[in-house]
Amino acid sequence: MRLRDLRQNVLRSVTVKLAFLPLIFVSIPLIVYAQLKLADDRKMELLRDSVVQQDRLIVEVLKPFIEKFGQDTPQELQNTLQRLASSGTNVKLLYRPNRPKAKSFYYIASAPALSPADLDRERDQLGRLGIFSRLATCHQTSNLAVRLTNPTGIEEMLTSITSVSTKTGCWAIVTARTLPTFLHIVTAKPFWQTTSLRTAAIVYGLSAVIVVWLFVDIWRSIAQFRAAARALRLHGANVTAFRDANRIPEFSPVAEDFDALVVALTESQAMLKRAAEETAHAFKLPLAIIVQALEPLKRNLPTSNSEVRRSVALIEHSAQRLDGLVSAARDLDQASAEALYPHRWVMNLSAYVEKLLAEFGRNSRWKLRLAIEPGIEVLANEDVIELAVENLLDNAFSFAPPGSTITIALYGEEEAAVLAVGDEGPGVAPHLLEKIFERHYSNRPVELVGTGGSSPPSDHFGLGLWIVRRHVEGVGGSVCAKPNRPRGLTVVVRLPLAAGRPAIWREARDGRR
Amino acid sequence: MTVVDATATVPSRVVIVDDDALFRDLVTRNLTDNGYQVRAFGDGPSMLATPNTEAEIILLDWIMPGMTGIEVLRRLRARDCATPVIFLTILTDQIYEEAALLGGAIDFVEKSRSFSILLKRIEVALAGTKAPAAQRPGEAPAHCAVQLFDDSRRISWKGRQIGLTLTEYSVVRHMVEHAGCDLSYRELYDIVHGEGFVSGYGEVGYRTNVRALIKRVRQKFRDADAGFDRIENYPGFGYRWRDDAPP
Repeated sequence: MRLRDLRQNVLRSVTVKLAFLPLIFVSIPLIVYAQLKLADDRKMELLRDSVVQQDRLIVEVLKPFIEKFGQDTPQELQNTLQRLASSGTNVKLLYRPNRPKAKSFYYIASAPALSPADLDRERDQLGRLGIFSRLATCHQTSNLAVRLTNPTGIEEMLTSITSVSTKTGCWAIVTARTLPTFLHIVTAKPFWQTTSLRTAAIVYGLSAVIVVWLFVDIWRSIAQFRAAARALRLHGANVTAFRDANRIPEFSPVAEDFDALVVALTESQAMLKRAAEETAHAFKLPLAIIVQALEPLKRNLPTSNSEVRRSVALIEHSAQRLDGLVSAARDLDQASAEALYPHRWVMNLSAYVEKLLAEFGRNSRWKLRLAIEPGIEVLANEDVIELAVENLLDNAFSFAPPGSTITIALYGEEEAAVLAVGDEGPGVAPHLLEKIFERHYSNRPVELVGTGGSSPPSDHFGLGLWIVRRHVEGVGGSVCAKPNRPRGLTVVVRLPLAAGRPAIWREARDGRR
Repeated sequence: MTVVDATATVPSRVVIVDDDALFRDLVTRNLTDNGYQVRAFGDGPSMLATPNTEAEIILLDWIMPGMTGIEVLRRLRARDCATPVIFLTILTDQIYEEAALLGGAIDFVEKSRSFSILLKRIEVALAGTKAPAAQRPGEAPAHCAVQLFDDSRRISWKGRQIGLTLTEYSVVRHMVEHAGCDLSYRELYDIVHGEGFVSGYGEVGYRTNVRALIKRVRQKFRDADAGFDRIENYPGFGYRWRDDAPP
């Protein structure tokens, strides 16, 4: 059950969603980037591969021409070369005859065509770059990456040199790309660097910022809504109106409903209290007149007539009793009204109970056994705790035989603080454990119950435990009774623990007092 | 038939302000029968507007049309009229009593109490004002931490004045006189609400009232001396003033 609640809370929590949002916004570009990078790498591979393939193709096409060099006109070779060299691709054909003295290559042809003087100069350049030294055996191909500025001033990148051996000598086919072409191939901008993708990334980033900001704003509004509601609950409607504290227009109707509810609650509480006072007032005025009117009557009574004296005494007695009952009814009604909308805040129950018990001073008639766990904080208010502790102790002491032990324990449970007062008195039958909390119910022997009448007056009217329950429930707690071991009765008060409550509950006391 | 206050050579003058004609007339008659010179008014403004209303004591109702009793008291004090005021009202809520005492009233009596209680309170109040201002220590010897001044109904704790109301003074005096003895809620309650009040009808009221009073008294002592711990609870029974003698 609790796990389900937790899951529900996590799933519905705006805070959790807000925490996930940046994670999502960051991970999506990372995934997209990884994919683009992969595609980019493949593209580059293909491009480089195509250069190699192209170079090989050029060599294969030229080979037959080289084989039968001398049979065709040199112009035919030149034409073929020109055909092979597409825009950006240059081909240079050089030859070294198989003569012992011939150490160097001669320029045979070049595409694009160069003047003979330029050909010579370029051949020297190639020689200086050490290109020919790579062809020691005249049976190999090597890929190059050598930059060259040819005599006409064109910058190119040599990409391969292939040697072809014939009966007469060794041929060298050098392929090159003009620098712009080469750079376009090797340093092609990756996808993610393209303008369109950058624009998309900026739009994405902006929308991510806006969405996160929106979420944060909603989250803050909700937090503020919550704080406003709580402030209202703790400090009362006279301090803040929910409608004013709320800043989300969509929540305004809710806030107004809430305001109306709080006003209705506080007003009905005030009305109940006022009604109790007014009712008492209405009853007491005639009583006051009866009491005052009796005075001359009493003074003028003949001392001899005991019958009449007794009647007058009875009238006075009853008037006073009625007065007491009216007061009691008013007090109870006001206590009930108070419980409608109680004041509560974080308080250190351990410290307060110890302070209350310290007031009890030395005690020789009973043994007090205290087991107070320190630092227990609850949501309640001091008045309710004082009233509960005093009534529970009064109750325990009134039943406990002298010399017996009264146990006062305070400890924390999972969600509640438990205050238990146990006595070693006669105890209460199990079927009556719930009944002792009823108004005017007393489990005392008849002679101990206050009748207010002719029998000797007693302090007990079966109200103590009723009052305790009424007030403790008023602050969100509960009271029950159970048999004490080995005998007697234990009354157990449970109060909501303050642990984990927001700080605002701690400030509540100052707001309310 | 008329019993005249034996101690007074001149009858004490009492002013009563109450909007309930029946009650007003009855109290006026009862007080007159007991030797007081009484002037009665139906509301505050008419009393304030009447010249020559000097009196030794003023009885004020709280709820009256036109002007509440507390407002009448405020105006009297504003006129430098220091006549002791006793509230005679049906409102018994602690807040009214506190407001009245704070406003300068010396006592707060419930209307529906018997006339003898009212009489007793008036006598106590008059005794207080008639006594000379000299502060003669009452019951306790001068070296004691607590000193009672019966004449002015004041109390000092370790040389510092404690501002107690009449009823609070009476309760503390009773406790100090019976230092070390256990005093029941009932006994203390009877001091608060006047002797002769047949106890047993307060149902909820009396314990709570006594507790509230003791709490107030303790607080007043603690305001003067943070370590004050002389008033102890006697569990399930009442309170006691712890004796000076070391345990």
